[in-house]
Amino acid sequence: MKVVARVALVLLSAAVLERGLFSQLRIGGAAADILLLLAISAGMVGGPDRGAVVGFFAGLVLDLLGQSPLGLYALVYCVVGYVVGAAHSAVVRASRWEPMVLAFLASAVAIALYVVASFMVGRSGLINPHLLVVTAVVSLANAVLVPFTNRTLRWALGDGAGSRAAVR
Amino acid sequence: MALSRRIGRSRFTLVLLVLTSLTLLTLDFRGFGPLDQARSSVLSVFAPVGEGATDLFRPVGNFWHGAFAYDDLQRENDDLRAQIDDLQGQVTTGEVAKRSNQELLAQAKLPFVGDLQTVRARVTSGAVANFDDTIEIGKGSNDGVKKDMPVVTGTGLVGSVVQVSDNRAVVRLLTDTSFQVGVNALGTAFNGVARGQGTDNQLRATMDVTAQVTPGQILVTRAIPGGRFPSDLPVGTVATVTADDGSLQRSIDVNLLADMQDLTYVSVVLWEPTP
Repeated sequence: MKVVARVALVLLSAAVLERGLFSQLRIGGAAADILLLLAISAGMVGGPDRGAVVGFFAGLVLDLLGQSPLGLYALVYCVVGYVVGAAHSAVVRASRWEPMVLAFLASAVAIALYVVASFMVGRSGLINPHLLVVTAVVSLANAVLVPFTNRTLRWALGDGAGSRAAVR
Repeated sequence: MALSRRIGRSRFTLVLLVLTSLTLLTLDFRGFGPLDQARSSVLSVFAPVGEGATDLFRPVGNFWHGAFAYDDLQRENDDLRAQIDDLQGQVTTGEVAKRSNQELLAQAKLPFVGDLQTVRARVTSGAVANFDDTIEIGKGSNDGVKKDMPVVTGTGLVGSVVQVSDNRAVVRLLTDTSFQVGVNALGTAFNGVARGQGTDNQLRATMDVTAQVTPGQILVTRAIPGGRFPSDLPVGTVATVTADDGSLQRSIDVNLLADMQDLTYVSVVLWEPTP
């Protein structure tokens, strides 16, 4: 119950930050996607199971705040959270840079997945020069911010996640 | 054994969440009312909090904008200086005050919307998600704003309302890739469809290959029965016209009349399609 409340608090704070701060800090019209980063961090810190659940709710928050078809971001982010969790678990000896590299790659994959999913639900036209800018900005920003969100989610997901990270 | 059980549980969770997402998508596409209601409620509850946060972080945003959009600011500054020079020249002739006053009045009354009623609204924020071309405005259903109403500035169409709460509304901009509007070349019978390209201030329209359109020509909205727009709202000017060999349609790049990068106030046209 405590974990649910903490994760809800983190998601709500992220939504406020996304709307209030990151949407103002744009480069070439693209902003960091902190809710995607939470899905990635949850996968790294809590494994595929928690990555998928946090990713689903992070995506759902973005779906509700934006105007994409409801469930589209939830679908993409839960898959990304799961895949990141599985990939992170498979790493035997993680380097200091591994979370950053993983966050960078996972962000790029998430955006590609979103474009494909959008196309499948009939929203074409996302493949344009702006897509490259969005991919670059989101991936770089997430790679830079991932240490902070990892720490936040370690707190939110509780001792289990913390001890797991400590073992690493 | 324990590991395989854990992997099995993870996969079960993932499948469950994917199915939930697909169910939500299906319900959304079918226009399931409670989901729309949920979005409106989130808009009403979250908008004031979001606005507070935006105001709180505005100094950071301004600093960032100054640092990363210096070239744009410089260009804007140069344009404004040039405009000031022009205006000062006109002041000396004694006509500028009268003319600009008339222009301002004309702009406020939006003469191109004719007798249609409008509600003027302040733009409170831009889109949260990267692939949405939307703005949030400070007027909602309490002011008569309804879903699908057209939104204009003094120069032309900017989009249409997609979400409404009591005191807020979300407007999808013309540049959004999912935006489509029926257009016709002003003063002609040539009809076509213009679509957003996800890029600033440009649309792409397609028209019949027989349509005689030339760069500079103005495109306006075309009213169709049950459509979302009244006729003759200015959309943009033709930039380039291309026709592939063998194609039955011309492809037209359209420069928007309204400046999508500089939306501070917009007007919602209180117009609803007749069924």
